[in-house]
Amino acid sequence: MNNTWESVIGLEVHVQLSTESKIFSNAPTKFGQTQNSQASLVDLGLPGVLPVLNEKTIEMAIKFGCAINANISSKAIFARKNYFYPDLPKGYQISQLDDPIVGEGKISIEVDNEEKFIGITRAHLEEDAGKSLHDRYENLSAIDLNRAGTPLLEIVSEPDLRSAKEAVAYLKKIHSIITFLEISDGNMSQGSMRCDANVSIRKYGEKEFGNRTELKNINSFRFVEKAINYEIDRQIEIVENGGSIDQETRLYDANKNETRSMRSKEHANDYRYFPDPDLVPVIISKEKIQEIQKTLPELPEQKISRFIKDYKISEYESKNLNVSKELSSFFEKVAKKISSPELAAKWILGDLMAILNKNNSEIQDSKISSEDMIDLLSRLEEGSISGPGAKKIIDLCWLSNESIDVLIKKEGFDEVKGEDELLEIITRIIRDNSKQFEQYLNGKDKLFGFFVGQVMKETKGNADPKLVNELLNKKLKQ
Amino acid sequence: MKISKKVLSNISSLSKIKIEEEIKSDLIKDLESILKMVTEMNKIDTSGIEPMSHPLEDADNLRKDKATKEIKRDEYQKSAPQTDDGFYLTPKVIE
Repeated sequence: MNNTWESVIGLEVHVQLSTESKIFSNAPTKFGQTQNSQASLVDLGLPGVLPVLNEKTIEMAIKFGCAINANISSKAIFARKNYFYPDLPKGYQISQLDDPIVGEGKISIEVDNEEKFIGITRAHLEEDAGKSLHDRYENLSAIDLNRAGTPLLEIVSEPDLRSAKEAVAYLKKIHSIITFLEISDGNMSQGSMRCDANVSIRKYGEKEFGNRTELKNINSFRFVEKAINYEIDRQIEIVENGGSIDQETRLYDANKNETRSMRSKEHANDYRYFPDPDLVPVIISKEKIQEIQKTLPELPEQKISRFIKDYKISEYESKNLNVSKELSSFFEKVAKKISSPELAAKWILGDLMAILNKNNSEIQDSKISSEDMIDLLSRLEEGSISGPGAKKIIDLCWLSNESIDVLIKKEGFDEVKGEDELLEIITRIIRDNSKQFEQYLNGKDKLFGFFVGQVMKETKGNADPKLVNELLNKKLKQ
Repeated sequence: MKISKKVLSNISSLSKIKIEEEIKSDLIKDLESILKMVTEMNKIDTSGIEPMSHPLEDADNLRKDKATKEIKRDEYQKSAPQTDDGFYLTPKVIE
């Protein structure tokens, strides 16, 4: 933290809408297909072709607008943003300038237990460009236009964010809204959500903004935080050494954790926007908006309060379970099938999350299904497996394809010792360790732990540690 | 409004159109005459008039979200100057 300088951040988030076909052509939008197998004549920008707007993109944009209580434009106009680059064969990108489909709105974020509202300037529809590969051929660029024409919703925030941490919280909030609305899969590693950050600094108390730099193409939550923090430090150092900040675009290099200048000022972009004569304005009626409003699914905030009420879990747990739609519905499936939803929350956020994080996986790629979790937690509830046993089963389940029941049998975790059996074991252990028992009776209290260890060893962990403590206490003091 | 050689060279680079030296002075004259016409048009009082972005304001031509299976890549690539392994190849351009 720096006490002199305040950072001012605004984000532009590009969200890939999960439609079947592209925004202006009927080519499919599948990810990871053979090069140019998803590029139609429209995407190739051949002469004489005409764009025809995909109605689903309009509906998805309106959904987002409704979810953030934004003004929805009654008329959406598409414009040409002109620039030349090989992965944009038309020589312009169809985007929106005036009359974007979604106008001003706001989003609440929470950082360090404080709620803060971040203004949304606008959200507009546009088409994505293709991809250029520069290192495949020596003197040539290889162009894959599969991504060209994929629908994007660009969400532009006000410069209301004041730290990299707030920027991450904002981005996570956008991610949860778009995934709960099911308008995007939000998969950052596949580029379904990308982010540019506008960063500047000023002295605390100043009203004027400093010159800002734009950081391009940041593709993970972690990199957003690192890239912004790097940039803030870079700017502070320049200004404190008497320099000034150039308004420029900088690229974040995740490998080196640094930002570097991308375009020089001499070639400042001039996009010469104008309304695209190929596309008529889209008229959006109030009825249409109301109709879509009615179909809005339950959003993260509503789910958070409902989970607290219905499942009696804590606010903290509910918030963490509702970071993504997938995690939220995973929890609900499990919570509905076992007697204690609190137990489900505890185990999903605890041991399941731990193993997901360890394997760098998201809940949707979890090798432990909700059915596995139901089986395991039911066994735990009926007492036919111990807590430590269940922990081990989670680890084993991740590595094998066997069902929970098979794993429990195989590992012998189903032989949880009852009270009588445990008493027998304890009596035997005390007899076999008479020396330690004597020392314990003579005041060496520390040896209690030794006896617990012996019992757990003897039962291979298939005992309820609480019960073992209780019984040992009784027996040793007899 | 006067158009300088520098402005002309900027327009040329933005539009990726190479302008031969010998036609530059004629081109500047043409562009200046276009701008003169625009200046005339700008004198018209348009306050209170909503800008029209398209003459067909009410046409509804949206498409259903259905994907085609008919992408004929190999056929499309026949008209490209250079392709390989399904890629379109261009001179190396790195931003």
